[in-house]
Amino acid sequence: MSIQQPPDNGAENSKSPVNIEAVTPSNEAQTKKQPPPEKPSDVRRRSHIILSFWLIVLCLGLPIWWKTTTIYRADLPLQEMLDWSDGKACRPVFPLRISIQANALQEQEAQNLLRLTQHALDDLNDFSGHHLRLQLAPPSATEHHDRDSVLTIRLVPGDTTTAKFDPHEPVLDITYPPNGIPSPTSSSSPLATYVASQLRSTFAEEQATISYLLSTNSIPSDHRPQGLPSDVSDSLSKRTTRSLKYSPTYHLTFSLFTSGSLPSSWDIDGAIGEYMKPVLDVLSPIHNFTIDTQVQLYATPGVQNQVLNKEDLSSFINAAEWPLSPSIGGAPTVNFIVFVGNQTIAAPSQTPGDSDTLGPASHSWLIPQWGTVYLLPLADDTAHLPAEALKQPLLTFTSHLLSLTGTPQSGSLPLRLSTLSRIRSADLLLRASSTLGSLARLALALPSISIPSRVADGVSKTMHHLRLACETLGGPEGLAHARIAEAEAERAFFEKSMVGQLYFPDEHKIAVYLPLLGPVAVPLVMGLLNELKAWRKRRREAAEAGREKKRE
Amino acid sequence: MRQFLSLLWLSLFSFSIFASAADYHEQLNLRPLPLSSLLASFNFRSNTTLDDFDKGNFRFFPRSLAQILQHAGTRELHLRFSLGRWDAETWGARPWDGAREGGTGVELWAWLEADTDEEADHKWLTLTNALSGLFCASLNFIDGTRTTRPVMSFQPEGDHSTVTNMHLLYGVLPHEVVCTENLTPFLKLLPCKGKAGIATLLDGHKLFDASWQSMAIDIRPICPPGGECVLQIEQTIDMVLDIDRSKRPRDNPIPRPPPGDQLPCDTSKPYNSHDTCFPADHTNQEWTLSQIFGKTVKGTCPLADSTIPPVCIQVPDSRSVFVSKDVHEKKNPDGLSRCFDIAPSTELEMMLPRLDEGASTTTDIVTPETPLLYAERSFTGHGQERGGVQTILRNPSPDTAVEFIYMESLPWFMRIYLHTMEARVAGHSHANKSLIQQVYYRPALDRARATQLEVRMRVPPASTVFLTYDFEKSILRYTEYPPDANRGFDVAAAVITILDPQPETIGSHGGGAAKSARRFAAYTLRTTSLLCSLPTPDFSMPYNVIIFTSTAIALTFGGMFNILVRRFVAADEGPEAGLAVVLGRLKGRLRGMLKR
Amino acid sequence: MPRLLASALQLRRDPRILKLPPYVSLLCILVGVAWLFLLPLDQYSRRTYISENALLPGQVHTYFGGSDQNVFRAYKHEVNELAGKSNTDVNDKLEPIVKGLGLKTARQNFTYHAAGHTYSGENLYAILQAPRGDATEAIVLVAAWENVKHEINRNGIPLALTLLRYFKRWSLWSKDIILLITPDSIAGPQAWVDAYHDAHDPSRVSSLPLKSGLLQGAIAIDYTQETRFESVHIVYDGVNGQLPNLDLINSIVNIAGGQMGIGVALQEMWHHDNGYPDRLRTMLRGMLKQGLGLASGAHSSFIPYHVDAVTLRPFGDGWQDEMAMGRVVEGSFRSLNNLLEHLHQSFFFYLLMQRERFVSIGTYLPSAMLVAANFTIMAIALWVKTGQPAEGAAPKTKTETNTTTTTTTTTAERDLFLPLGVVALIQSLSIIPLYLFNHAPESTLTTLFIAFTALNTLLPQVLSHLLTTLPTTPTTPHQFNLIKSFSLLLLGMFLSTLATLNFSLALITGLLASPLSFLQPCQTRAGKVAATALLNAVSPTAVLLAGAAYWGTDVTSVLKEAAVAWQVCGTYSPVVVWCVWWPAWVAGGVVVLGGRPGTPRGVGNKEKMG
Repeated sequence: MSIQQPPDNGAENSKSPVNIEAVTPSNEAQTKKQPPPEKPSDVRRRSHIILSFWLIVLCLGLPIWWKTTTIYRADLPLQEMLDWSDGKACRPVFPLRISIQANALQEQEAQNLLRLTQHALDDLNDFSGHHLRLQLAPPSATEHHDRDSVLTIRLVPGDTTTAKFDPHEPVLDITYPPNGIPSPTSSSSPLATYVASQLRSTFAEEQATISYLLSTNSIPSDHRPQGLPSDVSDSLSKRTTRSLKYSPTYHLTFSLFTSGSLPSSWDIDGAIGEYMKPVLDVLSPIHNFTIDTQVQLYATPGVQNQVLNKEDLSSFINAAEWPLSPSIGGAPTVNFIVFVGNQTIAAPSQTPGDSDTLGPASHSWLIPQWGTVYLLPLADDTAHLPAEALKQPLLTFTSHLLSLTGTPQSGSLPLRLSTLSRIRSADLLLRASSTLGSLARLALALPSISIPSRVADGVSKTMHHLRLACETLGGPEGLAHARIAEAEAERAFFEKSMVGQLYFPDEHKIAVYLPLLGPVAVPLVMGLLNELKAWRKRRREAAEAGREKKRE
Repeated sequence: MRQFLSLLWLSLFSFSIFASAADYHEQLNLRPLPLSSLLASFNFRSNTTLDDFDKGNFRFFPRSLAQILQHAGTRELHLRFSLGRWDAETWGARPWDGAREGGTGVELWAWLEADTDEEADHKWLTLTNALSGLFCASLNFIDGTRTTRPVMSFQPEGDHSTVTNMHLLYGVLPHEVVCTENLTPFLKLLPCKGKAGIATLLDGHKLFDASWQSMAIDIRPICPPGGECVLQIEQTIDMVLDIDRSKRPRDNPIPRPPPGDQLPCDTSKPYNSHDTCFPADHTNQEWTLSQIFGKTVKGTCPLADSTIPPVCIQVPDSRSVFVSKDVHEKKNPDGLSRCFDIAPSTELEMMLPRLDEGASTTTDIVTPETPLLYAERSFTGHGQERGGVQTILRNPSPDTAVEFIYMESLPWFMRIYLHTMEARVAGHSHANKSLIQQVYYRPALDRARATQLEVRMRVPPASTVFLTYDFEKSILRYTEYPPDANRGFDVAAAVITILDPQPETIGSHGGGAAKSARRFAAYTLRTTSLLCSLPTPDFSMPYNVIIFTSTAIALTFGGMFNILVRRFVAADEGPEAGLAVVLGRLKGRLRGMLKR
Repeated sequence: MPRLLASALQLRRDPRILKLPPYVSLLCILVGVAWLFLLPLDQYSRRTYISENALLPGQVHTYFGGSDQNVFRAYKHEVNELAGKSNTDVNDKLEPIVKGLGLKTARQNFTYHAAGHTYSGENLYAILQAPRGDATEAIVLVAAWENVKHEINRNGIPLALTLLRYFKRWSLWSKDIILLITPDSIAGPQAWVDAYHDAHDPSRVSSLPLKSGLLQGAIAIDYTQETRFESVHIVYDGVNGQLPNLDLINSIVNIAGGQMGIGVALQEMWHHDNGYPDRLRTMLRGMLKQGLGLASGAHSSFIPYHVDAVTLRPFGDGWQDEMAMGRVVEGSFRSLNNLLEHLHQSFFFYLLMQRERFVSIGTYLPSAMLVAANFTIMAIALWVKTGQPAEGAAPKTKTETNTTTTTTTTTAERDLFLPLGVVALIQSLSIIPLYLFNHAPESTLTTLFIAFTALNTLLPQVLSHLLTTLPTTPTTPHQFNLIKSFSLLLLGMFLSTLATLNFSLALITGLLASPLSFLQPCQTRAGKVAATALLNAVSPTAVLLAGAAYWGTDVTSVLKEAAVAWQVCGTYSPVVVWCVWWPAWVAGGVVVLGGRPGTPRGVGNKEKMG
């Protein structure tokens, strides 16, 4: 832009390329000239321009900038999640209904007995989260027990008071001497206390386990069990560490390893069908299993020496050589290995906890959360392993499988399994809610992390199912809900796009923004200020003019 | 060569027909090649009945692989690890008619059972991820941009008469460096591991010192007529060893110059003397198995089918081969190959003595058979903007034309101009339209899909054809460059499938199916892969660029804004300015300072 | 902000500013030259260093030697027998030997026509395929049958053969190794590289039947010396002054010096005490070579294709034998073989002043830019000046008190047609010498040159005479100023652009043309004569003669060299000389001689008034 001096004589006036507002000859005399007054239209135009610029910046620029640079954070019900993790939201209670079949007794006798036993139980019980409700089964009820109660007590008149479990059903048969029936008036009876103590001892382990789980998780102490004996708790912790993480399905892999070329085949199908299937069938409501088998020749163990002591056992599996790759697709693999070899295991120092780490013949040992190895000594020329040769190994595997799935030891099998389902659901429930809690804490801790909507609905699903699980604890559907909740919680927590966030520190942002925003902002602001100043000036002048008018 | 192949095929077919007879079979074929190199092709084949496969009882079939197949719904799988290049001019036709080799790097194609393409893609993803874990190869990098769905080049080898909805997916990683960590899992799949049988010869150092080597895994269902269907896994390792290099002791692999007196000299030269020696290299020379492979064959794998001789060698009967005792030799009727039966627990050592002088070089090895087609691919042009690809296809046969399918799967950042694709016979300046018979072209999508180009063409007898096309190099995003961007980007090998001139009627089942696949591809070969250099930025620049541009924008904006909102007045009307004024102002300021 | 703007605009009008430009531009030139002479000092130059970590120069032990010497002797016998034979005979003899090494061989014919001669021949090349490698990358080993001085490469070719035989035994090569044997050192490699990148003209250069991957580097052996040598001479200048990546040179220096204890020389500085004068001399020689832009060896033609290449040439009288040379090459090849990426880390624009000292473009570019800038400054100054009223046209207002305002407020019309026309005419004329000297056969070159020189001296006179005595409107000095302004503007523009491509050429041209910016239209006859003398002293032709005389050759061979370089390698120095420098010179001449007697100078008497 060239600024052109006004010509000082008419001759050159025409020649000057740029001509501007005409200059009156009057102010030619004075040295400093004033620019002629601007047209109001120009003034208005200028203010419009500035205004429009500001409008664009404020209404278009800033929103776009904001929209494009903010990180999407779906809003999570943080408080609720924290409540769940603190156990405020759900109070895990296991109402166990136990029906008593006393067909030999009259109605009121039975009622009386029931009342007394219940009293005795309530006196014994100290853990509010887990209490037994007795009920009287209608005499018309058939022999075997009904589904919705966890245990049925059959009271049968006999000569002495004895108690024994039915091997196939959750039924406790108690015989009582004829004089054992409490009189309606008496406030206590030996039979009642006996039954109560029986029940208590039956459910002691389950109670202990659940209370242990609760205590390990952050459950407020109001309904936490007081004082577990230390030895019980650490034996429990041992067992929980040993047992596999819960999953609806497990892959069972049976492998025959031999250091030589023989035997190269085995009748594993028959053996499994014969020795293991029953247990698997019983377990099926809680887990389902897929099975595959393999034969591996020329497999050298990690430890060569003849007698294996405790530390050899851990390194016996030759992970580099043996093809024991975990199966793909979610479910964990339980490995059962028959190793053909005549190594023996040095008798380890028996500690109370790991009584079952070693198989009966001490031919086998259990590897926590992984599986079992069984050493099978064979003659060198056996080319084929028949099913019966596999009986002992498979029985060991079965027992180990139970402890790997975390089944309690005591009680009859059906009872143990129902207990297992309860323990599992409690476990899952607690795990899911603690996951929720950590997710909430994470979201609070990292304000810059992005939270996609998938996480949000994952969380909502989790909580929905948690609520359902909480209501139906102890039942099979409770387990199902807890399972879903746990899976959803995991998925929400390990959302990929949440973890993978680009690190972009603030000083870099400044370095990028400053050269752009600084120079842009300065003229804008200056223009605005000038405009305001000019506007105020004009108003003052207008006021002055008005006053002068008045004066005249 | 043909005899060699016929032998192989014979064993293969006999096997695939009487599949249930033997479940495991292994064989090693040795073939001396010109210029003192040796082709060793190992072949292991085992199978399991589909019933056992579904039940999950595995004896010979590797469980780890089977699980993957089941999980990814894979019906047929072909996996190749290759390194180096086959020197067709010197070594002649490829082993197995090229059916058991892939382009440099890793190549994978599989028939997946899926209802929709999306499902197929998803299964393919699981398959590649699982395989990459199993073989310690970065197969998981075979993503959508490297996957194509060939339509003409491949046909299933197995029998899939029962299955209808099969999807063929093909992925390749040209940059993958095949190495020992890929061999170990490969050996783990074998029933006898590397511990017995011919597999004992396989050793990482030797294998990856080879001039050319290719590991192949083929899994296909086979239904022999009458017998029950079996799933067959065939593992093949072919390698060409340089005898001189391999004979070097392991402890001292450095090729120090030999002492002067041990140097083979051409004594016919007049100036030949104790300190002057015209080298006489690459004469036929003696070698033993233990020299070449560093060890001997330790017995046989007890599981292997004993009717098939584990080791064969292709030398003319005129040449004598010494083997260790109680190994007995079976000469083939054709007089060009012989096989050896080994007792289960004996070690096989083999020695080829040096031919006495005077024996012509033609008798010491079986002269390799010329392949049906020679192919060579290279880039044309230079610069960062665009380039071209030129493939030279030479048909050696004097009388028969060769018809084949030429397949390229190019990365998306090579944008090819299809209209520039032309084929011309050497010697003619103009393109010959009749050579290209059919073109299947699936254009790339940026960052999503690779270019797929399949050309069905023929080369007239005894002539050379140039297939050329141009492409444009696109600029990648800043984050899309690999750490070694200046190395360039590998372009996968082109696959050339030569169609069998007289296709048989495809047998409905059994070995027929396998045969039919063979018949479909009479010969397969792959070109070398290419290195395409893209324009690469200076990676230290982004912030500077951002800052510069934003400054420029800001300044232009400022100028424009000022012009819009300023009012222009005459200089003497505006506020005082000029040099004098500036000086005056400075003076005043100074004075003010001095006053204080 | 507006204040400053206005005051700056005011300053523009200040008469004192208008007197500055000549001094400023003079200052530019002086500073530019002084800058150049500062570079060799330790404060301004830097020690070389290897920035590509993958190279690991000298980290490997080299085993070449021992019985390979016997083989080498044998091959040397073979080569010696071939001395004097025709190119095809040589190839017929060599090809079986190379084939015997187990390499793939191929041949390539080429024919070039330049300066009335035809340069034709047949390249023989062989590819050692990397074991386990895939034909994606390659390194080239060039052994020309004749070097640039047309001496037979008696040791180089046997050495190359022996090396290839030795390399064949290694299994560690990750890149193919190409052995290229060319009949000469300029045309042969050029033809081969062009064909390799498909940038060749099929009618003259046949395409390659056999190819490998991307070329990652090339090393040429020029080993004619029969006696044992002392150190190695690295020739690194490419065509048009392009240079290989500094890392390549550094690693060879490192390998030769660090490992083998072999000295390294650059730019024919056979003895180099690391002092200022030697450094300066090395640098200046380097710049001269760069400026001429001729191919300096078999490696030169690789560099335009971004293939880093050097020629190694043993010299001096020492105790190093062929095997030592072989180990140097082996070491370099091992380093190149280590490369994961194309050489890109280190500098491509640098001036070496000793084997371990260099200056990078950032440091030296300003000098050339300053020299180029002086033309632009003068051009702008002239433009502004022509904006002032010419003498007499300025209004004399007696009553006016402050003269500054009057003189500065008036403007004069510039009529641009004539000056632009003249400049355009001269520029277009420049095509003629370019064409003539590049296409005339050698025999006619001398006469042609003489004729051209004669015309050249006359041309300015004639033009200026025509212009001053135009029938319609005789040209005013102020138009001459415009002519000068335009031509200088062009010159400055060209040179500053060129400085980024070929620094030395830009600098040299700039210095030679610098007088043009100070020549004023002179009035007195004596002045004219003096000016003409000076002018012709710095005319392109005169400089050409002087240069030829200095190097003891005749102009013809120089011209022939230029023509060959232009035809074969595409050297663009002739373009710069004839189409950038020469027009500016002619324009300058016209301006000088154009001044009419008696016309006082434009700037002069404004001072009188002030």
